[in-house]
Amino acid sequence: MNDISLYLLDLAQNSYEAHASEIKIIIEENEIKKKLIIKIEDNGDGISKQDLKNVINPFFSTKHKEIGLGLSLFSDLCQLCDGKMEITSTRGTSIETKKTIITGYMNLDSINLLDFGKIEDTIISLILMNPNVDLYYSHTIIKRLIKDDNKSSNMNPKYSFVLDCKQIKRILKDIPIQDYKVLQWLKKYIKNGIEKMKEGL
Amino acid sequence: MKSLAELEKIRNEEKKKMNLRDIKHGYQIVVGMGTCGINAGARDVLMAIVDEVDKKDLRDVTVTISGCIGECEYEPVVKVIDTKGKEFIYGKVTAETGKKIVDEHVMNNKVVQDMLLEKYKG
Repeated sequence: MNDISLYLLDLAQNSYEAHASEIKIIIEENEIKKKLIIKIEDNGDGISKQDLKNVINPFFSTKHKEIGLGLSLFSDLCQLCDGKMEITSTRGTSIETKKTIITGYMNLDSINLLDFGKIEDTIISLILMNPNVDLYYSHTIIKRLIKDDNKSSNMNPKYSFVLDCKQIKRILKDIPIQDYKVLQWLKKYIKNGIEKMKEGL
Repeated sequence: MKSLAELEKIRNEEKKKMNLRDIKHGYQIVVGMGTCGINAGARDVLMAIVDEVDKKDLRDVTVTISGCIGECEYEPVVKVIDTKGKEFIYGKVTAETGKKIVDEHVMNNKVVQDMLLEKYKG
């Protein structure tokens, strides 16, 4: 797949299909440590200990089909970028104890690293998959501080963009989040927010 | 600069429009978004369809996505379900032809015959 936003679109669908009611996509770019961390966390049905061994196999799927490429491709991407993918899954009986986390670690300097692409299109697509699910997107960049000899500050600037669909739904009240005018606005809000974050604003 | 205050405005505008019409159960458009679909460009097709549905103000039309339906060679695949529940599956859909499906089939009940999956399969 051409960019990271498409991998996120693919992987987050697993969370929807696992009946998650909350899905969090958390991205951290650490320019000092040169590390990129991508986390997809959900409160869905989870992955059994037995299946955990098999899920990165492209010829394994729990969805009644013979091929399951999403995790396999993401794992490959992480490795190509001098990193790795980890999966943890807790399958409790109550919603509070259920948590599945897919974490991808990558090196920001890797020549194989892909662009992020249109995150806004991915988020709109996921909302349309099931508007009742609460999606949360957080993207943080920790920038290298440009040293100024006159300053003794050792704080590294951190810039974030957060989209919390729960908050959006509170503002919308009885208007559905999948209303087309709302979705068009959300697209611009996300695109704008991420651009501002990358510019350090 | 996009702010949440703008969202409140949109909310109020949409609320006014909702009171004016009855929302009937309309057409459903389902875009395949499995790994094969994503790789074939299905997300752009979805965005084009949403843009067209919004532009033509089709408030009773539902757009959603689904996983792989097993027609990977013909991705991007779009399923249209009409008001009687009849399903039509289109194959090799592009952003341009996705708009055509909205304008001709969904708005005017004219099936786009040469784009049906069964036509590609011959």
